[in-house]
Amino acid sequence: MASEPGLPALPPLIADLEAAAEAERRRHRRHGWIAVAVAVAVIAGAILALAMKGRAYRALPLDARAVTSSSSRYALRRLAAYEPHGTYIVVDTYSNRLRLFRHGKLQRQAVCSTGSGVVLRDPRDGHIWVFDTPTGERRVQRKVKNPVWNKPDWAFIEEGLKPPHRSRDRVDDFSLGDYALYLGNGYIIHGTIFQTLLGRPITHGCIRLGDKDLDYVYHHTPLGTPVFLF
Amino acid sequence: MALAGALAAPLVAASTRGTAELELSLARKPDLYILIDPVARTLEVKARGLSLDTIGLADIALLSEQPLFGRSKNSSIRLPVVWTIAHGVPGHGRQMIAPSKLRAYSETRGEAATPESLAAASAEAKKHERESGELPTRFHAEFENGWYLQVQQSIAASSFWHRLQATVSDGWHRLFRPPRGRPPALALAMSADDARSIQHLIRPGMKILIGPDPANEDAGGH
Repeated sequence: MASEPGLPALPPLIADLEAAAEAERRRHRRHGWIAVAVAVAVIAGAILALAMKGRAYRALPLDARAVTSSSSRYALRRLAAYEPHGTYIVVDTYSNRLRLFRHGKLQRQAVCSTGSGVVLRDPRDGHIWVFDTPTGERRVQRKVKNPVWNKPDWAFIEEGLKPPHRSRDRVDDFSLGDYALYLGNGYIIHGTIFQTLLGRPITHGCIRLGDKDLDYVYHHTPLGTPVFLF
Repeated sequence: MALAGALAAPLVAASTRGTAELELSLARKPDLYILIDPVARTLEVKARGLSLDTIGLADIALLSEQPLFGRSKNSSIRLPVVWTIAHGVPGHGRQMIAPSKLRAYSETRGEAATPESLAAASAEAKKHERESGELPTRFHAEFENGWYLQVQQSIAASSFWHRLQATVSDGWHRLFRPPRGRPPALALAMSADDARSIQHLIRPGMKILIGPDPANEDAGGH
């Protein structure tokens, strides 16, 4: 409808207004998406930059199948020569088992008791004893039938007693059982009056065996037999 | 963009010496040593070349700080190799007996062993017994070269997203502070009982030989 002369022009049709508004909204949405995309790209870039700078403490599988460095025959022969031949004893201090081998074959397996790991402290001077069974190789240095134990200071201090001055007060002729195999430094394979406690780590470092096993080990272990303790 | 499968450096390289040559130097002494065979996945407690105990490993891996993509050059290891424990497994709480004062021996002289005294002594011994349940099943120890030995029941593989999170976090940390610098470690996965059985051996001075068992190697000419 044409406008009358002298009056302002009529506004555009509503449809045109709506079209213009929709175009504006589309432009705003486009600008919004672009802003979001830019923000995401900036954040992703920052994350990637930090990730490239940083380090993660992680596990890499160790695949050594490609390692084929060969040992020489000489080295293998020399290594085999170090292995014990004849009789040897292996003591497992975790499972409290003693095994006697001869020429690589198991001859006897026995339940034993090994060191408790207890620490004893002398109140007089603070001296410490640690009741561990030692690890490594030892040798049977001496074998005794009906051994007599000359009790050391710790055997008294553990009971809350002062060690006696007279040596005869230290003599104990029953605690070690029927046989003893001495490994040096005070460590012994011997018997026990506490047969029900075999298999438990309760000793002061020595290796205790039951009567029958001790009898067998004593009669089948020559002097100098290596004893491996672990 | 390179993915995680791209390797910057070989993880394991061969040394010029065989395992037997290295083991010879250990077998000469009466001390125990440990052989970790990453091929057979076993851990052996040995002395004089004799295997005293063998433990199967569920897994074996190297732990180290790695970039998100590729691999750090400082994570490789040449095998076989002998490493020495510098700092062993922290103490697992040894029981201590510390009498406050001592009675004179003469006060108890003449006591003979009776069933009652033996029973009492037996009960006392049981009290001092170290229960295997108290022993640690997960532990670590430091080698002299700065690496660590880590013993646990499993070694978790990290997913890409976990690694991404860790590297982003570490990258953010590095903007403001020096790098955390966690030392590399040799990780062994084994059962809890096996871990308890060897923890007492991981002490300062223990030699650990890492390499294929010479008994399984092909002997080279010489």
